[in-house]
Amino acid sequence: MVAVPGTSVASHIQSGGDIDNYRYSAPEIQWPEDHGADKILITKESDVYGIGMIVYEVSSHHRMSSEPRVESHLNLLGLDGKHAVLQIQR
Amino acid sequence: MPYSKYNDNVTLAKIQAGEIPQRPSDGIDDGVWVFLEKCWSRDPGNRPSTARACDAFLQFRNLPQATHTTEGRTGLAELPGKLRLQAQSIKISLNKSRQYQLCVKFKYGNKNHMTSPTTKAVDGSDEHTWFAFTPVLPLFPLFSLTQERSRKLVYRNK
Repeated sequence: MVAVPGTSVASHIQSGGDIDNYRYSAPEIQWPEDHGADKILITKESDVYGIGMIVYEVSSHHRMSSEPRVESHLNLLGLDGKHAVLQIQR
Repeated sequence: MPYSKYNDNVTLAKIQAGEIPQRPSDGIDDGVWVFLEKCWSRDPGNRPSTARACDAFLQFRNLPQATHTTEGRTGLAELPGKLRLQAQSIKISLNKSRQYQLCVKFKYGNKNHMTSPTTKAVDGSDEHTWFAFTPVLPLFPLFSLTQERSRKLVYRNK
């Protein structure tokens, strides 16, 4: 596999099967096939999507879904170029 | 509320169809909103670069104060009584080595608080602390007020 700088191929994104785990994930890493990709590619661009969602929640005090959750995941591109998952518990 | 009136499946379908959160009637000013819309561009190439995101987020420090009452808000219903929070400033920075920092200054009761700008990895290896994430305070205030709670943030590398 050709390594593309600034990207990381992920076998799956951390999900757990509910929306709260998806809300920070850019569409192209949730549904790569919809975007003409055959694999999940974690990129700086997908990071920007997730960070934007955090800014949105912080500045609006709104959450994405009405259903209560205790855990979320933020799928990010790690400094080491690997897929990194930040688990947020609350 | 953005998607809050929908259940999970509906929300997920809407995200897949390209819908972005609706702009709330309060709490986000024009500049921030325009920027967020760009962050959520369906085409990743149309999103701001991390460098630009860094610049823009840094400019958001002086957001207009938004007073928020949690009473009756879904997602915050577990909070006891009538809790008023004022997010006074938000600082999110992404530096050149791609370290993220998020810091929220807020008013809780009559006191000012600031979330800690960094959180260490639970495995104790500093090299994995590239993502410095602090509790998202206006959303989860009770969990953000104590160090014990904030230590529950877990980072792991896959």
